[in-house]
This record gives sequence, structure tokens and C-alpha cells, in this order.
Amino acid sequence: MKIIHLVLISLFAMTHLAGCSNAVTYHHSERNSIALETRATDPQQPVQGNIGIKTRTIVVTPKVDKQSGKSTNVVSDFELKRKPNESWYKFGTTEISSTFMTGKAATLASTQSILAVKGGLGSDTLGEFNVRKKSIAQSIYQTLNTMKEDETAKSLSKRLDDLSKLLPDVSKIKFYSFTMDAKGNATGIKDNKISSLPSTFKGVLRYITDIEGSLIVLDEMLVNRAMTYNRQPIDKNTLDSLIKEKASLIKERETFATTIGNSPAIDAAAEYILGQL
Amino acid sequence: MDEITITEWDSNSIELSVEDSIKYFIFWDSQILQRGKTQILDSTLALKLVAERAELYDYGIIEAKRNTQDNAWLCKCMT
Repeated sequence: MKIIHLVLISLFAMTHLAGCSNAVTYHHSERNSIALETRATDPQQPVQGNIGIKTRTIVVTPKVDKQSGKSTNVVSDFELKRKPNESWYKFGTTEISSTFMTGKAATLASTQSILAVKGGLGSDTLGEFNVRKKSIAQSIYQTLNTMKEDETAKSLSKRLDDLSKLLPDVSKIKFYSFTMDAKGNATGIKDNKISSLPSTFKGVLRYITDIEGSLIVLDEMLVNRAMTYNRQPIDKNTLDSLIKEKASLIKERETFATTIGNSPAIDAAAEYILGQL
Repeated sequence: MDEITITEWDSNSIELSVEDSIKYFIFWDSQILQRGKTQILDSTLALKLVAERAELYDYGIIEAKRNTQDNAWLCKCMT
């Protein structure tokens, strides 16, 4: 019981006191374990080992803008490195570097300092910044494709194209778009099936654009309840199912951000094109 | 940039023979810029973003007009 009280008091302190003092509260803990396994009955079997690391990060940030609800930018990440053995009888060193940044540092830090900082495509909420990032990525891709004689450009373009291999099976995903009346006014929403996407970087950009476009359409439907779905009125069951679809698309977007949007291939292409200036 | 009059536009242009390659698309403002904005005042930026969107589908814009009622761009595109 005492332990529960202590935990509750700590949580209360983190969430309430931090809010009062405008302070960012950051907790990062790591637990490491090493397991070695050998068989005494069979000395020829090599010794097998496992190294495990478990990290836990908790951040409580105050709002910087009460009206919009925006809070301080915070980035936390860690890097695990195994140094080679210095000699046959010594174990190598395991080095864990953790980073914590707030405010401008969190948004301006370079990729080298920490990968997660840069965010990449699809990592933001829908907004102008993400539209701009896609626009830049598309321009980089177009420029690489115009550099026909440049082997590095060709290889970087191919690396971007290869990202399309990481896309999920789009034929199983429902995308959404607006339906229009004869005058071109949006009257409802409809689902779209896409059988496949180009196996190039254009396919990647189309995928994230279609996901975000679908989210915009679903959000609009939630605000404008007069809208139809596949030209039928939206009843409660349909609404519930569309809300679930929205959650699933948000998850798809998150997966995209971690698997493709943060790819070093995009950073490498950007760096190369910048170097042309 | 060399500006021409509407008369020159009409007299110097020819109808594209391959009509199959022509398609018409609508792009809502909400789809090309951030949420919450109902109108994009900077038409240059809006058309750039619309052109990029069309390019992903291998289309280029040959004509565009504004649908003010629904805050959208209507585009005649060719592939």
C-alpha cells in the first residue's frame, strides 16, 4: 500500500508541479541484462550470450500556448553501441548514449546528433510543414532523375525507389475521397480502393498523400454531419466504423513515419542535392 | 516571361489531338495545404502544390480554374 502511495505521489508531483512551474519533467531509466549459456555436458558447444536493454522514458511538458494547446518540443532517444573486444579474455564494452533535447534544439538538431529528431516524412500531424517536406522530397527525387549521367544520383534515386518495397499491401487498405454534386461541391465521402502503387518513390509519396488525404476527408465528414458516405446517409453504425477506419489510418501513418519517412535514404539524397549548390 | 493576349492565346493554340490523354481533376484547398484554412490566398503556391500532386500521377496541368464556391482548383491535365 505504501508503494502505491509513493507512486501516486510521484505521478501527482510530475504532472501537477511541472505544470505549475512551467518546467519540463524528464525521467529516463534503463535496465540492462546479460545472460550467458553453456552446456557442461557438451564442451564443444560455444558459450552463447544475450545482452538485453530496456528503457523507459517519461516526459511531462507544460503547454506553451494555452489556446492552441501546443506544448514544448521534446525529443528523447538513445543509441546502443558494442565496442569490439580489446583482447580475447575481455568482454567488449557496451555503450549506451541517451539524448534529451527541448525547445529549438529539439527541432534544429542534425540527423547526425540523433535520427529521431529530424522526423522525416509523415511524422507530423497534418499540416503545412508536412506538405512542405513532401514537396521538398519530391523536388529532390525529380532533380536526381534529371541527373542521368551522375552515377551517385542514379544510385540515390534507386535507393528512394526501393523504399516503395516497404509499403504495405495497399489493396487491403481503404482510402477516402470527397464526392461532388454536378457543380463540383463536396457533398459526401466515398471509399477508394487502390490496387497497386508505382514501385518508385512516387508510389511512396502517393501512399502518404492518400493516407493524409483520407484523414482530411474523414475529419471533414465528422465536422459536416450532413455529408453522405458512398451516397448514403451516415447512420450510427457506419459512423462508428468510419471512426475506427480513421484510427487505423492514423496507425498506418505512424508506421510509415518509422519505417519509411525516417529512412537514411531520404537524408542521403537530400544531402547530395544540397551539395550540388 | 513573355506575356500574350487572350486573342494570341486562342489563335496560336491548337486542340490536342489525343483527347484520351486529357483528364480533369479537382483539388480541394484542404487537400493541398494545411487543415483549418478554407482558402489559399497565394494562388502561385496553390498551383505549385496542385501541379506536384498531379505529377505524382504522371499528369501535367495544361489549364486550371478556380471553384470559389467549394474552395477548390479544377484542372485540365494531360499525361
